[in-house]
Amino acid sequence: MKDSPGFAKQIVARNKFKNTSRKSGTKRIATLVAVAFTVAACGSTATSTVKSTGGGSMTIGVDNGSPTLQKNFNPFSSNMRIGTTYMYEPLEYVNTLNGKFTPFLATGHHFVNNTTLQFDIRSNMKWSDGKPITASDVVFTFNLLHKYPALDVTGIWNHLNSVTSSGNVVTFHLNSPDVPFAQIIAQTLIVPQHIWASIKNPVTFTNNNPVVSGPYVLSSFNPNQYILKKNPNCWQASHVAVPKLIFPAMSGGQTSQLQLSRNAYSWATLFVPNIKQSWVDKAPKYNKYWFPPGGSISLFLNLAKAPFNNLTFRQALSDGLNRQTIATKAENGYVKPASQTGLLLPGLKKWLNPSYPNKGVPTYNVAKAMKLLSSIGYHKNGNTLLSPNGSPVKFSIIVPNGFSDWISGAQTVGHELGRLGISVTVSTPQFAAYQSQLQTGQFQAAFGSIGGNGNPYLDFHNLLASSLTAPIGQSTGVGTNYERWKSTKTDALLNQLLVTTNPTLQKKAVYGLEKIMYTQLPVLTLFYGATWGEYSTKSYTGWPSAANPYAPPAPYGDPPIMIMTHLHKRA
Amino acid sequence: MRYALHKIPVFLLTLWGAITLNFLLPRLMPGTPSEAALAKFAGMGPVSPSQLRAIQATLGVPHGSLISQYGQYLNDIAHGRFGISYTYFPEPVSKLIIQALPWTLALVGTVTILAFIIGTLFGVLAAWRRNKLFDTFATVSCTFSSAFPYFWTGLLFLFVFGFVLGWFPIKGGYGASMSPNMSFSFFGNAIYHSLLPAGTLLVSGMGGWLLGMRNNMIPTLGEDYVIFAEANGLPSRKIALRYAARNAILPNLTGFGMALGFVVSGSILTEVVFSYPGVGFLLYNAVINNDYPLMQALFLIITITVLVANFLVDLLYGWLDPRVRR
Repeated sequence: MKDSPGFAKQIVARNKFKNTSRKSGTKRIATLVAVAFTVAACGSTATSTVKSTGGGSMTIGVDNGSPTLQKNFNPFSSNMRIGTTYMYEPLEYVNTLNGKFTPFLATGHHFVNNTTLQFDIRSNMKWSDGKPITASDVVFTFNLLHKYPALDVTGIWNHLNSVTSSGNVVTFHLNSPDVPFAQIIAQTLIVPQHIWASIKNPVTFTNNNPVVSGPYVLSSFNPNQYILKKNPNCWQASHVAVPKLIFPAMSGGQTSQLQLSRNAYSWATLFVPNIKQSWVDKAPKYNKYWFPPGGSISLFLNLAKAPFNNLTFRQALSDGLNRQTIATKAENGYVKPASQTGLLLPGLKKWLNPSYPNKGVPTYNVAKAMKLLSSIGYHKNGNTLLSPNGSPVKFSIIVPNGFSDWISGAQTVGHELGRLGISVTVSTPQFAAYQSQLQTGQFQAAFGSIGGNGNPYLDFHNLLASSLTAPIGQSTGVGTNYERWKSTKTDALLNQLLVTTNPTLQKKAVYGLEKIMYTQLPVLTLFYGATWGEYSTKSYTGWPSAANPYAPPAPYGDPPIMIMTHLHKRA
Repeated sequence: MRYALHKIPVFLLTLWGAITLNFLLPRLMPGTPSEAALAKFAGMGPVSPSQLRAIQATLGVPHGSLISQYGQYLNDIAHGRFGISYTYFPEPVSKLIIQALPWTLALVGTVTILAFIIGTLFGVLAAWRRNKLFDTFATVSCTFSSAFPYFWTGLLFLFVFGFVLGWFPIKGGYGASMSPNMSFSFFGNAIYHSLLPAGTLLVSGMGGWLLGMRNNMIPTLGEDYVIFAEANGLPSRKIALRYAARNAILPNLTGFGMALGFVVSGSILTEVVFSYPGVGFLLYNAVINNDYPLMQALFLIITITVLVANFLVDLLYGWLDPRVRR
């Protein structure tokens, strides 16, 4: 949705005009502008001011300027430069597509019991300034997050009681059984104690000379561009093929798409209306893309309000939606309809109960929808559906302003439901207002994104846990159960996933949650929201792809350290 | 002098009203800063409860009742404290504005003055030679150019001169590998980057002055004193500039005072289209991110500048037109 990571997607932050766009929501395109540019880009012979990558360096189109770049390499800051994620490393990398762990600073982890977790820290590693990396750096980092809750973006200390080390082993004592929490600990970026211990206020610290463990260190910084170079002290420096990374300040959809079509980037994360024409065709042999699911874009129905509190009504809405049409219109055919089980497929297929037809993607059936509606007293008068009390059925869907793909998806939903005689309006408040309406329940229906953690517990917990919701009129606060689903059975199943390390019991609980998603329809999943990834194999190969999905192709967040240690120079 | 003294209480009252509105308006916007901050994460995938908690802890806002926030606000303004930006956290608001202001003053300020001078002079010329070739051409083309929205002209220029022809850079205030400094090469680079946005602003801005001046001037040329001056055989340039234009310029001057005041707000659309590192872009970002401290500081500066510019124009009026002094 937003600006490329930043204004990520088009004008704004899906590339934030802001910024930045990244995932599907990110396309903030001033549609007209984007279209104009794309069309224009096709026939242009203009020379670019940005040269294609050469000489071994790689230009990455991901960091949105606003419009220039503020220097901030604090890995716990919400305003850090994207390049920070190429420099700091976690204990283990977790592939959010399928939940697979890859050891980084730790060689692995295990549960001593379901409240005690141990990570073994790799030996003989050095920070970029040559000092050794030890288990006490790990303990220090976690205690830093305890001391400064503003840095604790993953809420670690809501689960953690204490952390200790002995030799190379770091032991985490949890408040209560919390097996899925291992992932959150594993993903935390570790910082050097000898630097951070003397920082007076780590919340406002901008870390201008980052001392790091990962593949890259800062080489130079200008307000319009910064450069990272290979860290020779990195413990896996021999796996790092690209010597230099260039991050130009992106400026949103308008110019970013033009630059992409000029081959200005070796790696980018942009939604573009016609990927073949504006990227692949510019160098068919090398210009590749992969848009795996990063979430399920879903229709949230306010379950605390009539008529959405009626399961039969929700069932009818679900049957009345042609998800293929919605997916195609919203995302230009780049993504598939989503499974109503709530799982992101194919990544999480090992958790999928095989008994669902069509992998849990509901079948489009208007006749069945009408039959369901009449079974609960609704009837059609001409082209208008009337409720049992005789009033026309209508509702509005809220979608954040600028998320052009979602908006077009919501309009298609409205069109589809029009066939049932339901009148749907799409309203597009600014993001903050949209968020506020979700939190306080002042909406009828909304577009939102679910899943994407690579871990069914985290995905279902954030969506369905009773503890994350609130009555209408009260804010869910930090809770994300906006649809206001409350079910003791759901909570019991979630709790089971918290306490068990037994794969059979885990699978059984996940199957139970899938069934709730599929039969009770707490939200209607529509289509997968893509993680946009365009990359060039001209100089480097080994990129993640559908055939080798070792990471999402995102040049931001967790994947960069994984991808930069998996690329090789083209032979 | 009495005329000037009369104006001061009105000025102060307006200033207080503006400062208070400036406090209230951002708070009437739907949503909170931490919700707006989430937009950045929502773009990268589903948002988790912990992210929201950490953002709230970082920004620590909003706190206190509206009244106590207002008291705090007035106190901070009196001491020149503008706080820390939410959007650009942890950058202080004053630093951001100081960085952005020179770019806007140089670009928008220069272009506003140029557009006023050129537009007004051409307006005098068009009125003096009304219905001749120059007048027809200038009037028609300016009617067109001033009717186009700024950003549309901007996009057109960017596309044609920046992308298709490749004559100018398409974004930014200076080259990618440069940092602001006092060298000639930096200034040259910055001027090169400013030509395209400046051209856009000039084309869109000039038309209004030209048309305004021409239309004010034509009735003035029919006044008795102009005919009298002509009868006395004064040179036409003197009649046009010293007699007719001096009287006709008054409404344009009011507009110019306003325009000068608004220079500090930058030209939001132009700066956003060209990713220009000025105040307009800052303001745009502040608003979409519910960045109260940054918005308040920017609105405050804009308000005060507009008020001061108007105050000065009022005084200038008194000098240009003796009638208002009474």
